Amino acid sequence: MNQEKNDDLRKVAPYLSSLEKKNSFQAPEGYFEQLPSAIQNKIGEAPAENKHKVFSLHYMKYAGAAVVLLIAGIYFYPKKTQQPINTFTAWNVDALTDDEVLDELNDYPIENETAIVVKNDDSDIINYLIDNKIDITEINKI
Amino acid sequence: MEHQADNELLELFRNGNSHHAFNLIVKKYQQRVYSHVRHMVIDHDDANDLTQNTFIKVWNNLSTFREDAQLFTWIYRIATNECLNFLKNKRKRFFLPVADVESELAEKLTQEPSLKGDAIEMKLQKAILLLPEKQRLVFNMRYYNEMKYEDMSEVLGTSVGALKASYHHAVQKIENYLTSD
Repeated sequence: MNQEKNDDLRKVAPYLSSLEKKNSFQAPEGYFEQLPSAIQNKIGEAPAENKHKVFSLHYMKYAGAAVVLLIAGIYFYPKKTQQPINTFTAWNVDALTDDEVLDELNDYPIENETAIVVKNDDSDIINYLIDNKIDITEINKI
Repeated sequence: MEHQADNELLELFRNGNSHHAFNLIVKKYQQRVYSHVRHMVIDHDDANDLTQNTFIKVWNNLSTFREDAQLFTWIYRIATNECLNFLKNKRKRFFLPVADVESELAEKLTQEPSLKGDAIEMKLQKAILLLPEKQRLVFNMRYYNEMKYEDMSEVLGTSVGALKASYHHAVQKIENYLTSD
């Protein structure tokens, strides 16, 4: 195989193939005798590589970008107008005329508040009176 | 010096004394790794750092090494990545364009004692430094380390055909440089 390799090189680069292949970059004397122990010393003192660093710069830059986008999103999100849905509130009731109060009462959904009472039937009322030991005759007197 | 087979070393690492097995792996591959790295970064001190870093990474990851790749090509890949990252960081750190890193490496060639007084060898090394980085890798692996294209393909993740073409171009460029005045 080496012969084949050399033949190929000779065809493409006759001058290069004629040169003696030298190891121009020699390591200093005794280097390879001490290298294994130098490496052993380093792996002895080096802590195990933490492959999942929580605060690595790599992840922090993405986290930073996410925070900036979140703040920008909150700041630029179109705010809804803070118009009250119902103008019939305690603070302005004195300023309204009687007609306006009546209009507001007509619009106000009071059905929800009365629904529980309307649903109660006679048995519920009787049970309530028994549970609370209320004499029916007392009620009739009122 | 006779070295144990890779599968025996890996078996020893997994089931025996991992430090001893790792030491044997370092002894088996240190010269090839150093030579590969040294041809890429030229300077001995840099090559020493990168060779040590390579073996530290081998140690940190050897327990997860799967034998679907050869140990030798796996170590070579780590060493190659170390070299490429080192050169990339050098460019970033000093905001140097590509040519300046290469001229810095060429400057280091002139300080190399073994090249002093050998004009032809010096010219060859300068010609190699003029190659694009990946082509230089391919040339060094094939010409100096005499690696098979299949093994180079495993190390560099490039097809055999592309590696052959890359080596062919590199050889032609070097030949042209050497034969020019």
